Amino acid sequence: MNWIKEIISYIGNINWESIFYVVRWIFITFDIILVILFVLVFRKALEYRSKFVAFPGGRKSKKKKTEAKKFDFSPQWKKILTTVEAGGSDASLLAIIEADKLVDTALKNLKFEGEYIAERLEQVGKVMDLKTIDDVWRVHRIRNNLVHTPGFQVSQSQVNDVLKVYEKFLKELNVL
Amino acid sequence: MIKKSLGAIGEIIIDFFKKEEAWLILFLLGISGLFFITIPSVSFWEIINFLLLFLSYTWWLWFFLIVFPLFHSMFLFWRNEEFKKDLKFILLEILIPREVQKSAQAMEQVLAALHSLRNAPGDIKETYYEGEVTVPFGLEMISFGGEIHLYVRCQKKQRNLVEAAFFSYYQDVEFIEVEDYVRQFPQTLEEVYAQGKDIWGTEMVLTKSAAYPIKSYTTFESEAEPKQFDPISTFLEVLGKVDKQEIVGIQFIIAPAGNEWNDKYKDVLEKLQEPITTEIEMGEGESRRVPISRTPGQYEVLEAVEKNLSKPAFNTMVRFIYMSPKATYYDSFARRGLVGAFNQYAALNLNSFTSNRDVATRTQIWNWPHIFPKIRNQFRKQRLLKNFLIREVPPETWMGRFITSYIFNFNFSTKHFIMNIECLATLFHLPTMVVLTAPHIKRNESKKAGPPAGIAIFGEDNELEEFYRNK
Repeated sequence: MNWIKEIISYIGNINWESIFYVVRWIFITFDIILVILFVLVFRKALEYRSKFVAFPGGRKSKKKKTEAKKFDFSPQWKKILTTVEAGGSDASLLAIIEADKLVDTALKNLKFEGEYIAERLEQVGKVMDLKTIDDVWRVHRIRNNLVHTPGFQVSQSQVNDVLKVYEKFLKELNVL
Repeated sequence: MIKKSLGAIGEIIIDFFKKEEAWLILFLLGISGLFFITIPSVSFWEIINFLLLFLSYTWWLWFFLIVFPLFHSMFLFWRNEEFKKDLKFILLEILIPREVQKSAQAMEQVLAALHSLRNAPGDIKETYYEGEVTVPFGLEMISFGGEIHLYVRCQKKQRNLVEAAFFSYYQDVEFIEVEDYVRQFPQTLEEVYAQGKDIWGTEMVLTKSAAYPIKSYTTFESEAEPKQFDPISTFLEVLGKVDKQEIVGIQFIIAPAGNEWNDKYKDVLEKLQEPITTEIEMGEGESRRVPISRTPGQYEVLEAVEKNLSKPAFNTMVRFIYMSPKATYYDSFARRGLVGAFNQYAALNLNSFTSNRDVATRTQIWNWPHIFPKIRNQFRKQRLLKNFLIREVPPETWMGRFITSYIFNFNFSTKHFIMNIECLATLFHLPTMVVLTAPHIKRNESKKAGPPAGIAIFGEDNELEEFYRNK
């Protein structure tokens, strides 16, 4: 029975307090590393969170008051949208061309000089500080390709994108 | 009257003590009670102080034990998403011939072949570094204004194998690679509204444990020709009836499950297998339990469950969406029509489908949690649309679901279920010749056949090389 006593006395002689502190420090280092990794991975993981909004249709009460419109092209614009809804790829191509024309007319009415729409767009870019101007250039190029390049194809998503840019631009010009 | 209610209360109490949780609660109550009874001199605040002192010495341990599982789960989510991001999928449209003579059994074999393409993480590197997850296939039925298309979605590199699986049972079908139709969809709910449309959608789940099968194609079939039915016809009819500008899509996202899937349902089976006994009086107040034979109905259930668990299975996600211009938007079409089409697979003694209410884009003030039904509805629509577009399989990890949650829309309710190949083949197969009423479906008008073997091929060396590469 001696060996049991030995074991008990051995256990009793261990400096439990120092072991406690060693273990404590090991765990605290682990904790710190864990927190750092947690933050890093959390930021990475957040990229995979889809973005949803509470009011996708826009808040009704939040309508801003805008200054009076000099020109109103909304009936023309609505007509373009109805041609798209009628369906068919040709209809949407036609809609792009029509939308481009509408922008051109709007610029003409706002007294921007130039022979072509491109010149007028340049003028607008110089005079007004517009957010959508770069996008309009991009979609205008798509429209040009559509008209001039044989066999140029646009997908439905591209069509939607193009029309949206034109719409935003017209809204920014305050004619829609 | 009083006696009856007392009896009912007694039963409730007895039921309560049968549960394990009840004993746990009692145990905890007892321990906490001990504190107060045995040491009455110790006040409540002293106990709190003692606990705080204890925590101040040992917080590092508790912190580690709580944060580490969260970190582990989040890390896995991140790696899994990275893995999924790099996958390349293609969408194959199935062009079916005028007449498909094969029944759904052929589809069952196709699914069995697809099941063998299963991938699963095998070691630490694959699990934690590559973040591998089982890659799902997609079986899709989409109606664009009444024109029905059938699609298979698979990994680009598996295209040949998937085609081979189909060709070996459906010789006359043809596959063409098409641009993913969801590209034509509005990508966000803002766009949906901007186009003057609205959406409705939900996910289908099983009402009972997945051990119970749904009504499978074998019950729809019969030797006698006039008695043959094909459940797919209901879907084709409903999908064929949509208006010109409406879109209805049904997706079955299936990820092969490991063959040990049925282990999880062993206890259900064992419970069913237990001999059925009844108590008979032996006279003098004695009674004895004796086994009796099963009723035909009970026997049928046992047989169906055993058969169900004997086949390979897929983790299945059934999701559908209905998109329509606001003028013709009628959500009952989807809510009743499509959900009703799933109803034909219901066997009340076995299993049936129901719409997952916590995902469906229908929120009402009297459903839990009773607040902000409109905002929650908008979130649900966005999540459903997004999940439909990317064919999302809900993350397995808790943190993954937590991170993708919003205050108004927790991502914990979307769930998939496990379903064996027989039931799955019933849900999605190529419409058989019984379905003659479906003119809306895109068909392949002519048969194609390969050239005879060993036919001479002429060409330059590099052309031949090209030929063999593309073959």
